[in-house]
Amino acid sequence: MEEIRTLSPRDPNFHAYLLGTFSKTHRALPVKSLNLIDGDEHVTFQIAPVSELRRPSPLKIGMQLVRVPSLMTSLFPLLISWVFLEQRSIEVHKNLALMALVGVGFLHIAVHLLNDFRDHMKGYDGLSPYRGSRVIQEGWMTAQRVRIIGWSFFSLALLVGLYAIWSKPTLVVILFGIGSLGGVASYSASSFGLKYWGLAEPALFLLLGPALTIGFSSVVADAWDLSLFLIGCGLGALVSLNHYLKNLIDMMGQWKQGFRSLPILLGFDRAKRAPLLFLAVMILSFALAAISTEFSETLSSAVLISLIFAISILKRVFRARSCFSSLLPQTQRAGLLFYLSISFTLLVGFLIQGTQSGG
Amino acid sequence: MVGRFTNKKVGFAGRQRGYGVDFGMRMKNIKIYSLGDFPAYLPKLNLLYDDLFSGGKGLRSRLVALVGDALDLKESTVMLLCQTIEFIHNASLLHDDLIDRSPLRRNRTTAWLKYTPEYAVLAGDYLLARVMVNLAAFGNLELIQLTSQMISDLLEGEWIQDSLVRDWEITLEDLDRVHNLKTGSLFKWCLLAPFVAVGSVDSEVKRSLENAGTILGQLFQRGDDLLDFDVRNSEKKMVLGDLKAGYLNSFGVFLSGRLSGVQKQEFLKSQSMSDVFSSLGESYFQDRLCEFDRMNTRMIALYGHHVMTLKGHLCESGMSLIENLLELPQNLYWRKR
Repeated sequence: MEEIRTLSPRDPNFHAYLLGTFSKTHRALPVKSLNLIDGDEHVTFQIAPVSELRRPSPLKIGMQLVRVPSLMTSLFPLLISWVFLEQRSIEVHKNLALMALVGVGFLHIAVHLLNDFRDHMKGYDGLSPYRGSRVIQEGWMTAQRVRIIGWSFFSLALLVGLYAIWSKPTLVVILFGIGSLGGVASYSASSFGLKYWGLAEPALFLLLGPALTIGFSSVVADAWDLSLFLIGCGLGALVSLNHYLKNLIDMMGQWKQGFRSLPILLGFDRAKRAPLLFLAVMILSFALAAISTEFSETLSSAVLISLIFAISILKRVFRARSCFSSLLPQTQRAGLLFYLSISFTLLVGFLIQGTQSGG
Repeated sequence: MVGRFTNKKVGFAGRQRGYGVDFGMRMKNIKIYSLGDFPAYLPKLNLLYDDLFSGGKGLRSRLVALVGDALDLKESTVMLLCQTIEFIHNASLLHDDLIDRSPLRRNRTTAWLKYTPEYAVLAGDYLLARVMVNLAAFGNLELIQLTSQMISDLLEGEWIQDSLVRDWEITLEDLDRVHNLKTGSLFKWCLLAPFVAVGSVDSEVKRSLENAGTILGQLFQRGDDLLDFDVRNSEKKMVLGDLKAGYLNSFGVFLSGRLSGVQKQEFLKSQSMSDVFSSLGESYFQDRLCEFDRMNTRMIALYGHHVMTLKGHLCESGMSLIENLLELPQNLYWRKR
């Protein structure tokens, strides 16, 4: 039999329940609230024995925790840049490239886990069901453990960054390290983060787009290329679009919590048209990249795939009649598939081209 | 029980109409509306209201009276609150019927059809305006704020629900959020408003009442949605009305969640319960109903928990209120008479 308990922030056990450290045999699952949270929020927990919780396999929990598809949005620009440089026969500092890949990956995981932890502790995810990995809410892992794992990944990312600077102590490597940390902080810090000012999409466009591709190529090859910048713009536009769709779905929760996301600033009907802009930037970027590489097969394919996906995404978004429409989560899933397809096409295409030119 | 309240202060004296349907709750039947309440010189207004208020269970006003009596509120205040909630609820019905183009309400021709759509809109607006006039005269700013928020939530819910017509992939989670705005907000108000009318409400009591009211609204809505599938339908409500109007209600979402594409298409075309059973299989229907009930039993436990947290904050006379509130899901969800 599950027990229900409501605790006030003044209760001495309040934080132990939130963190999940109050018991080794039970989990305190926060009950979803449909009411607006305030500054002095009590939390109602369903106390459930760990043995009775339905848990997926550890692999699935791990994948959910690190949010693999989201992680790929940090890693794909680096991998694509790497194979692109190799394909162009530009010498790549392989150890450094590997470190950048691992460091950025660790940082991405750390930021998401610490965001999950913060949202849980502040009760944000009660009102917005689309937030986060939900491993804490489902009782698969305690908040305390998520925090520890988050800070562990952050420490590992720092160590990798420091090792990279030690192995190649140049200004550009130091700037890439500081830029990564500064970018994350400027994006998600609760006091001044860009995502709280309706600027999440432009910030993501830069951070997970051209800044990543150009930063990476400057670090590992002391070179940068216009095509790589344009590829970064295309990928950045697509990441921004996916994030934008998430904000579009979560408009009501964000509005009630006073967030100023881009869809809220635009209003639903104008917000529905904005994906057109993201897609135009993406298609234009890939098209220009294709032109700059004298119509490489890979980039030409990317343009074609973009056009097909863009039409399907726009058709769904335009038909949505409110942020509650089931078409929007479908569009978001299509957007993610879109990102993975484009990235995979670029990665494999450049690999094949590299092998052919190498042969 | 009829004619319990006559309130000259807010002008409700005169011919009154009662709510005769016993919904099984230990709540009083309250007369809400009299012809003298509305300007006699407005064409069709009184006739329209006469039709509108002559049916219905007065469920929400009885809930208000249940709480108000436990708090020893003056009769005039209870009357004001009961009238407020019934006016708002009926205004929403006037608008709702027009939006849904429903031909019948409480087995009578709906106002927009019997009169005109324009009259139905204006009559609904007028009820909302009367609410604000009456509350302003009462002079409790917190009550006005609470009521305005409830009206705002209700309208938001209406607005969003309209956007979900023929959306067959809606999730239960999203539907709950819509129902919280549309139905939960009114139940929340019913529990909270009498406390606010007494004076300042302790924040913990307020939170418990809000949570309990929200859940009660969800339970009522889910119970109501089951009637649409002829489950515990002792009220003999029209079957599959929601589905035929292009609206997948909470049980519809729950039922169709595990269906294959083809099965779902068959289910959505259902015109009668035998169509539903032939598309899903009767045993599947019963299994899902049991699961739905189990899920809502957990919700009832949560509701009970929130009601029980009031215990430490109410005086001895308030204990009977807790008992009565704990019984409500029996009527509102299980529809026991």
